Amino acid sequence: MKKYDVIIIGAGPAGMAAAIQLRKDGVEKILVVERNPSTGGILNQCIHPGFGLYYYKEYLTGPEYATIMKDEFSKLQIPCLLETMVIDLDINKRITVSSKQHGIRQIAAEAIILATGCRERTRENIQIPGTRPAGIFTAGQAQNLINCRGYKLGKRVIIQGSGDIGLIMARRLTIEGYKVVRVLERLPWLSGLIRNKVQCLDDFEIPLELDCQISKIHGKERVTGITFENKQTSRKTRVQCDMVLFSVGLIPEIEILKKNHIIDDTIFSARVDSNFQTDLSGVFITGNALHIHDLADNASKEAENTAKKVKLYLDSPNKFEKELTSTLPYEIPEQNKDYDSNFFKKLDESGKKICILCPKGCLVNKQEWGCKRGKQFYLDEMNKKLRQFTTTINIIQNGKNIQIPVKTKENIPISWIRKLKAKLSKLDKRNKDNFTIDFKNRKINFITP
Amino acid sequence: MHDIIIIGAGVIGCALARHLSTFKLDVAVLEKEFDVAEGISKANSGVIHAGFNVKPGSLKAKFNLEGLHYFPHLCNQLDVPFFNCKKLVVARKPEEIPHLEKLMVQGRKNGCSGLSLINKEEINKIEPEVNGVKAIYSQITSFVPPYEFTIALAENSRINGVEYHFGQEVESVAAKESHWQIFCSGGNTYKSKLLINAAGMASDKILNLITPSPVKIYPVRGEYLILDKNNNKLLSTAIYPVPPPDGRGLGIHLTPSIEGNILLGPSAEPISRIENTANTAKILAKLKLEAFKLLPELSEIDIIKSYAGIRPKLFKPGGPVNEGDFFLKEIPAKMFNLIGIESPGLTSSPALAKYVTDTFVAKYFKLEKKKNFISKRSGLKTTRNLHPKKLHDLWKENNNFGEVVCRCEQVTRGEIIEALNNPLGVQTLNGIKKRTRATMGRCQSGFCLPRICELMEKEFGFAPNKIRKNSKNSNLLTGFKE
Repeated sequence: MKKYDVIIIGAGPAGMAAAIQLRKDGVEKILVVERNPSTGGILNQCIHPGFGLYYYKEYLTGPEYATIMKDEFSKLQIPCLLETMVIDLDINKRITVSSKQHGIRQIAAEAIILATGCRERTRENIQIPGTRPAGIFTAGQAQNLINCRGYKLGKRVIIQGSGDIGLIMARRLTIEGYKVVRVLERLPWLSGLIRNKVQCLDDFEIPLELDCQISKIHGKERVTGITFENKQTSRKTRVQCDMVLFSVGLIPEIEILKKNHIIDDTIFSARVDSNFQTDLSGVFITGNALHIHDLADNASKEAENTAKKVKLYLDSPNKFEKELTSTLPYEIPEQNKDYDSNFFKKLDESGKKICILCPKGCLVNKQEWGCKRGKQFYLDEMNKKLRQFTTTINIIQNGKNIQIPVKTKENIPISWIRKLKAKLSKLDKRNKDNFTIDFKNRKINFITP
Repeated sequence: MHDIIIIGAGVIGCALARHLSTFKLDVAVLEKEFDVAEGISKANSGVIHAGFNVKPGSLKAKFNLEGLHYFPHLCNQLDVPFFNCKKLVVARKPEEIPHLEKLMVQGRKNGCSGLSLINKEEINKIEPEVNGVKAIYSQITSFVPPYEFTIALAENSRINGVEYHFGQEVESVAAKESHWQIFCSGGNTYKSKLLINAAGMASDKILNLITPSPVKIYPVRGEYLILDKNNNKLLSTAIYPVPPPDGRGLGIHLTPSIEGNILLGPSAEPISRIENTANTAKILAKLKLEAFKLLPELSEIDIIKSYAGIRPKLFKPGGPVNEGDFFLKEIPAKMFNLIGIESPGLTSSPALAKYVTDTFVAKYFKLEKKKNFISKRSGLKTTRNLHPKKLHDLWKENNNFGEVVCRCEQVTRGEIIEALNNPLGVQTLNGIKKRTRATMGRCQSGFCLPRICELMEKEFGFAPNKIRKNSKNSNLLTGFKE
């Protein structure tokens, strides 16, 4: 049986950051195990921009963020088993992996880092009544079907949940030609970032209804509509749609630990000490597998810190144990309850804009702004709303039709997006290089990751 | 021209098909859905009953007691898991004890074995988490996955020559001089000498097509919750309350499944439409409360699925319970009807198949055993409980068994391909789900659905807009232009 210093399960923003940090700290025998055909994890399906502002000080799309990490991986020659699923982890820190290419193998390590990310809460977890027809998806599942595989899921959509994935998907679906009828939020305030409400809902005039939850799904074979209830007024409204998206929270994916009862069944997230270590010495958890981060950047940053602890563990496991405290190594940010109906009403009256250049979401006008860029944003916003446009295109490479994400180099007016999208769908492209298309007597530059 | 046509591919239709396939007969099954076990047989607790809940002298009692003994052997032949989970019927209050005693007497009259009345201490020895003052402990009560059992019956009968026609909703039936002519919604016509009506929820309607049915089905819906596998160590026995006196059902109970999930339910609500399998806020809240009461350590994310099934009751809500026996009759001549086959229908199914064959089919055909009958069926390979060495050997034979597609239930590409190549030709997402458990786990298809769609498209040539959840108009990816 092969033995490594560290095995990292999962090559998403957390797992890759941990591996890179460990290698930089001089750890030799590292192995990363990833179930997908490429590294990057969920980043690959997040084709929208907004990643990397903190971690790379750059404004990147998900696939671009993943590409930077991938390049660093190859530079540092970190070995990664792709298309390989970990099906077991035992108390002796041996993992059993399964893959089409190599079959079933056992591999051991001094330390194991779980960077297995999270899964989506489903309609079932929140017990939405009604029928069970085709056309009900979780937001991330729909994102994968559309952005990675090019499927078209339906036409008229209701989204339950105003978390970031729900908001991002509202925009993405609109760009793809779906009609997003409404976004519903069970709580009296917005769940996701305020900038995402501006650039995903307001830009496309998609209504958000707070205090509302689907009370019934209709349709026997395919969704035909929903009824939602306003919790304040108890008013019920029926809406026609052929598709429902649920974006109702994320759950750390640590089932591999539960299998051997390494952790208590009764706790929802895994218990770790101040060193990110579980009850089992040498087994660590980081990123969304530990707790849900609002930004991929933060998951990467946490993983870096975890990797530093793992290095200490490898250097002297005994001393490491003594330094252990039960303080959690992370803080769960308090839910932002600012953006309620009152806030939106006041915002409308004040004439202020929300700056979307960073996740802070400052309120800006001519006199007040968060930073210099905020002032410029306000001036631009009053003149012409400019946005970076991201989507996917089909290219034919080596006779195969593949779908890749693209983004505009410069920001473009929102009003161009639909026509530009139509033009892109007629593109005959046979490589992954950056390209330019003529549009309204201008050259629009597109960048591929 | 077929010798026999069976309408309905639920557990009754398929048990009949399987039994008839042992004889030299030409049998076909017509089913309106795209798979077997899509109605009552899909959504029940899967309990093989010991027979103390049924009225002495009733048809239910006769076929329950006879049917249950076939299961161990039949499941072995058909490679279906059979789990002797045993059962406790628990009286929570002293007032309920007389009801238990009545059930004991009824059980003895019916000839049940393995029954005993036990006290609080004995209950807690069996299930420490369960609170009760007294209970009936039934040692022969067992569990089979009901749709797996139905699929197995159908597949084995298919191998032995029975034809299955899916998407065939019977619209009208004409009685010709020597045969039946059956017209289906798609425009297809079938002919047979004998007709068997095992159409479940629609069985009274089917009889009405030919002659006014003397009985009417009153649908009673039962809603269920399914709990995640992590909780299985909390329960290994089926736990029932003392049955409510309205005769609508056996009360909300907990059934441990072979895979470690717990089924919680069903409720019993009279409804007006037989196809109304929607879940309701009221019952879901009630079931949830019940689940937390029984298993206080449960968290909300442990509830991974809700569903509802319909019971085909033969008595009006609030009406006399005694009228609710199975309706088994040949009317008109050459047509046999099985109507109102509710609980214990699954348990009774093998015995009913034998009964219909011996009393009805034997009148018109000389029953001659097939010499080349294949009694054994092998189920699909599963990888999730295999030892790594065995799994590796399987991978050596076919490397698709190395690629995990469904992470929650650990289902490989190899298993999904085998399921899509099933002998019945079923190629729907629910078909894959019922055969492999892919999409059945805690993430409810979040992870594996895109992978399964791609597999169906690339390996089986499905146009994306032809990928269906289950029935004809349940297309998953409808945004594609036709």
